[in-house]
Amino acid sequence: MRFRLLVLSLTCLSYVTISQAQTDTVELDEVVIEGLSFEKFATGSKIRKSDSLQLISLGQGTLSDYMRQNTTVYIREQGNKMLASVSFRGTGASHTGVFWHGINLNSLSLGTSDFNGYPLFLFDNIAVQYGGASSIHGSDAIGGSIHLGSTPHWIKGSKFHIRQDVGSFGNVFSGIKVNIGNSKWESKTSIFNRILKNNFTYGIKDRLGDPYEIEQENAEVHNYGLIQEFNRKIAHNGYLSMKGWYGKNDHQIQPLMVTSPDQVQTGDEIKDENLRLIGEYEHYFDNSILSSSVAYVWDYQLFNQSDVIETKRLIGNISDEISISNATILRAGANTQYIVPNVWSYAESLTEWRSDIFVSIDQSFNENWHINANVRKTFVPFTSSPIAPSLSASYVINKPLTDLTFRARAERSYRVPTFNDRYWGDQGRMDLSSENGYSMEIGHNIKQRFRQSSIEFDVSGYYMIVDDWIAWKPAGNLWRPFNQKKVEATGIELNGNYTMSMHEWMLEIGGMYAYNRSILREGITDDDPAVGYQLPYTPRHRAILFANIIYKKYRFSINDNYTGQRYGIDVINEEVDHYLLTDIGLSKNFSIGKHQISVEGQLLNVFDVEYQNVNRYAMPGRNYVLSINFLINNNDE
Amino acid sequence: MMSDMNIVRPLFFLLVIGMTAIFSSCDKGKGDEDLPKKTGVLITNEGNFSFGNGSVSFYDEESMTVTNNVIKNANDGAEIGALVQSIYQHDGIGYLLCNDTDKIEFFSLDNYRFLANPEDNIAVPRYMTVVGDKGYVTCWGPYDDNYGLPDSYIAVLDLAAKLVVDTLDCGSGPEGIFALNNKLFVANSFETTVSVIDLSDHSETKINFDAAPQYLVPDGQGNIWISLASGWLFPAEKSGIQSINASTLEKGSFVHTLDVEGAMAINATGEKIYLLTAQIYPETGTAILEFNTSTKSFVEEPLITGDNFYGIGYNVTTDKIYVSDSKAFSGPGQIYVYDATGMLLNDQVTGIGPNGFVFK
Repeated sequence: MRFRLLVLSLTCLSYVTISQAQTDTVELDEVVIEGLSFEKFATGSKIRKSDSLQLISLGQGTLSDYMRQNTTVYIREQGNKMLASVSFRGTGASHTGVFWHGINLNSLSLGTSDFNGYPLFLFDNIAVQYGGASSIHGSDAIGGSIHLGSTPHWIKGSKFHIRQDVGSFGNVFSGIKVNIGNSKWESKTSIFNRILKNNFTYGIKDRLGDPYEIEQENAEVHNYGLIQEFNRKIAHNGYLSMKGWYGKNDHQIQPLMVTSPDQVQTGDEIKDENLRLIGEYEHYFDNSILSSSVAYVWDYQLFNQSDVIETKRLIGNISDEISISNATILRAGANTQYIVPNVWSYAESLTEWRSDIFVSIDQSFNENWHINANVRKTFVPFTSSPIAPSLSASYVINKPLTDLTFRARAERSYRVPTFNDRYWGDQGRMDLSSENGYSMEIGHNIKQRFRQSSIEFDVSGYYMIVDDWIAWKPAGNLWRPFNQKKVEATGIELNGNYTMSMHEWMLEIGGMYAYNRSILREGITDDDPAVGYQLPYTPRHRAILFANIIYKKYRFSINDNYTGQRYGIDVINEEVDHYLLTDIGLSKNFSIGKHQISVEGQLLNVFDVEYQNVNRYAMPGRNYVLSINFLINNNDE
Repeated sequence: MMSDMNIVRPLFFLLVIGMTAIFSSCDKGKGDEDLPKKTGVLITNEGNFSFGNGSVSFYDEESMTVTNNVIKNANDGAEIGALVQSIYQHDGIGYLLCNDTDKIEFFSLDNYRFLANPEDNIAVPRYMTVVGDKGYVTCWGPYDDNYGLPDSYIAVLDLAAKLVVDTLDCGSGPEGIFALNNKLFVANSFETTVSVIDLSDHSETKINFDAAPQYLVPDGQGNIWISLASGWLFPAEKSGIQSINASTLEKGSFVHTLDVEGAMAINATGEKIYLLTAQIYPETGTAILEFNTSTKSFVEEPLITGDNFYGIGYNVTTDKIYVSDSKAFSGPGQIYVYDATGMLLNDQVTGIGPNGFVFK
């Protein structure tokens, strides 16, 4: 039985931006926050977007770092920079959709994403949409969805960004971005290489209670990748974009903490390789926007040089957004994918067509009231998936000094079973139905501006049921998947920040807090003792406090990041301690004509806190990162 | 400039100290747990692959309660940190066979303190038996690229020196092991053989069966009963139970039944064997069948049925049947205690994936 499990498991925001205001005395890069095509149909949702400064500061990191630093979403990381999965609003790792220009990046075989496999350097913007949104994005968007992307800047001339970081434990990151264009066409290239030895030390006590320092072995990471993008304006009303993303992420698998000083560490490793190509064309008619895209995605994972999980996908997407009147916008579209997997346990001839159709409408009644309705349906062979609707409303008041938003949303969301769930040898079950999410949320946002300062506060509350949650269990003499579990999640999220500028100073302080009650309602059996308990590795409490102080061209930042106590997989007998990590950073910008140099030093885990995110996986103590960024022709936009 | 710094410093303090104070206020101290009694039932909780969360629970038949994490509690929080395949008890010492970390943890059966944890020459240890001053541990050895086990062996443990001193050959995927008449009987679960190793000269004889041998129990009449599963590598057509005479090595007849999982236990008289079986998919249940060693037949109606039965034990002192339910390793497991007629007496929550019982 143990062995079967092994095989299964192998195959198994800060919204608050640093001052958007520019003052005469505080010199900052222009902060850019990009719009999203689906945003107008999601006014009831809480959406938090990155700004360019956040991405520069975290530039050598991954999506996992971004989520941890800037959101209260929980990232479960099985060792430092190892496999990182997400728990969004108390849901499981496969209940968050991760999208790049509309392509769902979650593994079709496993249903999840490794958040350490998405390097921030490659993206211009990241948007985090809280809550279910299958009615807009399709499968997987139950707890939330994350959108990675870039936007054309239509620069004239050329612009370069060269980045170099060095840090503790053999961390070396190098990246180059080149943008060239003439305002009609543009080429954007981002390329990076990162090596992390990850040989940090951690303390253990041996069987007699004597303390030892152990140097972490078998946790090296080497990843590199590039995105090449060509954008072209066609006539006055067309826009063509071709993007290619190649990424390679080789990492050893950090072993469990040793239990004795001379214990030998065994060496597992995973090599991930991905190629994603997309061609997009948008045409702007008088009253409508026609969008179409064709994409090819190749995902390849090799475990220990022997086990391959591979899928190839061809994707076509078309949608049209029509302004029916000043008050009504309608969008309708369809998406189809042809999928060819290559996994030893699937039937050799296996291929799959999967298609989606979707309709959205945005109706405004006056300048304050908006209502969105969306509906989407995925067609998957043999598997039932629901018609997923959502309805949301927002009420917005914009006054000179005050912005107020009230929002509400109800949604049905879903997740199509993975290829493993449906096609794994004799065990997969094609008759599984999709997992279903039902959620409601309300939110309120207030922003008040004063003469030299502003304050913003945001609150969201939600209630969600995830039903038909797929779990594998023994059935006959083999393990098989079932629509087995039901989870009820309730939560509240608070964000607040205060920004003040005075002479050559600027100060921003803020905080975020999330409370997540995520309870198993139906378990693996009727008498499952875990029923009634919080889900494993799902913290009730997450909080972040931060401050940024800017003086002339200096910037000092501090970030306190708290993760509450969690339960281990044994939710009754195993607790995983809470931890509070403090990071500080200091940076300085130098301008030389059109060029800029920024130098930054960050000290992470300042108080050298010993902690574990997943029990028995060591995490590093105090460590540093030094970064230097050269922005050449930076003003030439 | 000085005055500027004065703004920064208190702010830093406020943030850091404030957060620390808010969030570090509620460390729960764990009181000293009472040490489990001398007699009772040890439960091995296998744990999840790659989480190192295997543990040991203790069931007290008098109070009818389980104490979980007895090893961790007795060792100042130090954990086994591994998948726990089985415990063998001998002469006041418990031997925890940890199959993913390739080690054997010795602990005192009196106070549950760790004593030693040899690792050399131990690769995927499964089960153990003792003859004289030597322990014999079935070791799967490393997997090859096709998940085969070409390098399985028996590790010979010097109990006094607490070291592996020798290895013996056996078949692939050795699982259950039992010694009788100065012979080791080893169930080679990745093939269809039982290895019989003569301890006087270490010579090995292989006896062939029609399915994959899993575990072995003696009936006190000179026979060893072997549970035979269909095996996942080469699904055999049939599963069931079969005996072998420990002196003549003569086989009894192969008594078939549906989907034998392997786990089994024998009662005090050696007359009844309780065998864990699974229903045929699409049914998802598991059942305990009763086998009579005299009539060599199964009682047709299952004695006990349940969801995810994973381990079974029989307390020969109190005549109680113990069954564990893994709950598919998705969270804490459960044990059920029955009397010999199959009547449920108690159920208790354990650690993850309870897979076996040791009666001390």
